[in-house]
Amino acid sequence: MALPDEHALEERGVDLEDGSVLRSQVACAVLGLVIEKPSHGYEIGRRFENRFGEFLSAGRSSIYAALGTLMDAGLIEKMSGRSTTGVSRGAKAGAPYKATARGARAYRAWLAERVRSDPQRVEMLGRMTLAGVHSVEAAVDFIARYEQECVREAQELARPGRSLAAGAGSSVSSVVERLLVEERRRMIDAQLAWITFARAELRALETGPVDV
Amino acid sequence: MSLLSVEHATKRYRRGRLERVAIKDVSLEIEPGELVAVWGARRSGRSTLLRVAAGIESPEEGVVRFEGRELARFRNSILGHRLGYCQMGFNAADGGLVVEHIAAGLLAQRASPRDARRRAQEMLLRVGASQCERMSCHELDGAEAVRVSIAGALVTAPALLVIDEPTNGVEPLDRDPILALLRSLANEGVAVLMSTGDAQGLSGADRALSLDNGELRGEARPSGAQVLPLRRAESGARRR
Repeated sequence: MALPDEHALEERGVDLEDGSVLRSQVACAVLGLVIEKPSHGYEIGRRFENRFGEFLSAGRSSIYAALGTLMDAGLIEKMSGRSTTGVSRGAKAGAPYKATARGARAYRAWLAERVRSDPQRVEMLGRMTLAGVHSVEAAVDFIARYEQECVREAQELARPGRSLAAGAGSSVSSVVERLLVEERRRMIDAQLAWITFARAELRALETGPVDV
Repeated sequence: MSLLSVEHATKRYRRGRLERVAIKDVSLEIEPGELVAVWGARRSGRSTLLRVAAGIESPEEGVVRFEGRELARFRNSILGHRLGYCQMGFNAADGGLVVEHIAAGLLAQRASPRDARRRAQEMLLRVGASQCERMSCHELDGAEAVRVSIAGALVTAPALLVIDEPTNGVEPLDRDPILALLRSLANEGVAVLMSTGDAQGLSGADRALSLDNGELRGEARPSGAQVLPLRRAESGARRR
């Protein structure tokens, strides 16, 4: 699986620094878990094992390293403590981690790009999606980003320099190349149709059940 | 100043007590020489957006400006002159020859019959449909009809061409050459605003706007996009 380059990430609305952090699948999985539910480090480690253990191997030290990296990048933060009088005591060293708004956005952008380019890992990504996209608003944002990935690929399918058979020159290779382009286009058509369906479902969820 | 700007346009259709919002608070700008594709599913509002952008219909809210002038007020001097709208399909009244159909736009502007015919022939050659010159409009196949329609819109040398689903009803192998034609027109400086319901129509677009339920949802723009034809584009349209 090819990782997106920095320029591509920036174009997709992912901050370059965030994009660099999200090159680590462990960091992405940890971020998704923190978005799902603010937690302490040890609890995140336990949930990581339950959720992603069969796909990703990471010890507790890797989980804590990922939490540190995500903190440094401003994608997660420690929750502020509160006294019984309601006065904020500021962030505590032992406080649970929670995602920042920037972290949630970066996660959805990364997820939308990755789901599109990495269909072989649909199940793992599905679990990540369930972890990090758990409101209608977040789902709508995720769908919009997914759509942009589809539209961009449809445009770029025709870009010069993407020739798979460059230099081959034979009519057969040329036809095969065009057929491959057409195969991708039809896949994108199916994905765009799914997006239309997903939006209709989300709209129905927002407007509530229809009386019959 | 943009060539075309649609500012917060909303358009509704009413049938009895029912009302449907076709486009909702849509804004977009088009610059000279840009190829902009509007992608959307059926009933997304893509065709309405193009009719509003071309001045065929006026928005109930918002404003459309062409070269800084309000389209609703100056429609007659803009549409069919500096702004070309590709009318797809021909009705029974279009029984004449293709070349006469193309020339009609110029005759309406008081061009001499000779000049109008010469210009129509030039445009048919430009769009790869010169072999259709002596045909009747109802004889054209899908791809030829689209090319002739483009020629009809280009005959007045517009700065913007608006075309709704140019590959609709066109055989699969003839679609990419039509998209390549639109790309080449943009490369020559004619801005193109088109709609599409499939991924193929996005090929080569400078910008792709996605429309859903009448609202613009996003915009994507690759650099240096060009159409890779599914079949090598011929100098003319399909030979008979």
